[in-house]
Amino acid sequence: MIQSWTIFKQIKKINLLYSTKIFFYSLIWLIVLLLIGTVAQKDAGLYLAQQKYFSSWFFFWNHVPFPSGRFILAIIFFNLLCKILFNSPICFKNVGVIITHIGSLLLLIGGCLTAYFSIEGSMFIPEGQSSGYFEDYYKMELALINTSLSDFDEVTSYSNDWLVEGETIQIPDSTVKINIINYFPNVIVSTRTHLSHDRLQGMAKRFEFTPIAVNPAHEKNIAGLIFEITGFKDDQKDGIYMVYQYMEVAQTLQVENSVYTIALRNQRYLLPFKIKLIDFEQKKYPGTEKAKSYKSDIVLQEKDFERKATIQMNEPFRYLGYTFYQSSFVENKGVQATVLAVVKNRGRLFPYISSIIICIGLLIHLLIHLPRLIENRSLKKEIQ
Amino acid sequence: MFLNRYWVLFYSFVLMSMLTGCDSKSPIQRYRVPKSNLEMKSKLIERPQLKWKLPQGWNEEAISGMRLASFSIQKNDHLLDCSIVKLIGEGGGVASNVNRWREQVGLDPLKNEIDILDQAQTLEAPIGKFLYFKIINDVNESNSILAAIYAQEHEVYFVKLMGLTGSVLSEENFFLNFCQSLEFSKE
Repeated sequence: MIQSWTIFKQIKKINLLYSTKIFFYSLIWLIVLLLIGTVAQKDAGLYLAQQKYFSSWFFFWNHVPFPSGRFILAIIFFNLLCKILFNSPICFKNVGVIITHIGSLLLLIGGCLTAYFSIEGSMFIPEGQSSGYFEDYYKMELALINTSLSDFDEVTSYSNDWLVEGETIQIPDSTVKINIINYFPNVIVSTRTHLSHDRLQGMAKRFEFTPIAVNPAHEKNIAGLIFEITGFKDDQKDGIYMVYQYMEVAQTLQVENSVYTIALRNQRYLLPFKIKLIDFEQKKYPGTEKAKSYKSDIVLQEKDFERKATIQMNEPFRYLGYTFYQSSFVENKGVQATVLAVVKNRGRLFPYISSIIICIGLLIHLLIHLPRLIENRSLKKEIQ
Repeated sequence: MFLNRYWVLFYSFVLMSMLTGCDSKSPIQRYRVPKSNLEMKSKLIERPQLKWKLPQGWNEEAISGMRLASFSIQKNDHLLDCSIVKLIGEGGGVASNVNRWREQVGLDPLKNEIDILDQAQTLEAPIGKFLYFKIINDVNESNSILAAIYAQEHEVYFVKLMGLTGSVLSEENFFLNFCQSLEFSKE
């Protein structure tokens, strides 16, 4: 650590780090990224464009790497930090500038927290029922659900990060292993035209995947996973299996004394409480089918208490850092269900706080320099 | 010394590097859920379940793999197998399915899709029109297939009866009645 410190000490030309040119060119590149991302969004969709140009460190164009949003914001952060540390002498006339810079740094820190620690998804609750989880819009998980227990199901879930070629997943409390062969974000499921492998098992015996381009409308994608299972005592069950999103008939596996359902589904986040939907109300504009407003009357259920609340358009419900927005609804067989957008963002307050600090900083800077500005103006008038 | 501005810069850099490390693999989650809540979303969003009139002598079997329903029919010393399968989208298309079934009963696949569709009869059931195919191998002791394909807006249902040719043909009327009875449950 001491060595690292001495390296920092040895940076003689520290003034390069706080150069305003870095900030200037970074801002220009951000504008270019914004333009590219906006155009790319038309074909790739919002999520993929955002991931490629803003939520990554680099993106590749014709095999040439270019800095993405995250890299540029990190550069701006360190540029501002160096500016405060090494080129902002603490004196009365600089107070406003220093406060403004600190506010800007806080804004970037908030963005960083949002980028790394926020989660969002949707929550589906039929009338009269309660739910204690929400599902990610984009990320998938492989869920191994032990359904052989009498009162509840035991779920072991592996996120998107595990669904890569060569990854190995161990079925809990057994010697059976799942080796990931292929994961496709969007597939067409069709009947197998000819047997390509004699170790095909389950639906893989008769069906195959044709990978297709990811649809910008993420809800239209059907993810597919091909994997090999090994380690059964009865090696007749060893072989290559496949599962896909929204599969009608689940792939089940008898592993020793337990029965597992293997499901590829949107990643689920458990809430530390439950939400029960009491009533869902939809108002339409008179004489039309156009929705005027949606409203969900809910009850928040925690261990020892219950609390009633209403969620409607532009009136979200907040609790324990989670924000619930009225998003949509589903009606089928006379049963209504609400769909809530759920966001947990640890950096939620940073934009508000930093904006206030930046405003205060700019105001102080203006007030400090106002007399001099007025003085200069009257001086100019006198000269004229 | 540790409040030196160089240290502040150094700590910020370390913190940023640690945050970048948060991109690593998410931990495995393990939790318990009440049985009834596991798939309530799919239960409501799904189309209503299929129902049918089961012909006499047909036995409903446990479902497995991709099958929505499975039936067996005892014929002398052997069993006929009937299944209902649902696939999202076009389910691979009519031609590839018919050719796959032809191969299963030892017939050569047909290259021309028009020839395949020529072999189909269009019939009607409460869930909609369907294509009915008789894929018969006349050679003694060979298997044959009777099949129905119901193309819906977002999915396709396949009903297939397979077994020895003579037994399959003797069951044709029951199979047709079964196919024509398919409807969505209103419950």
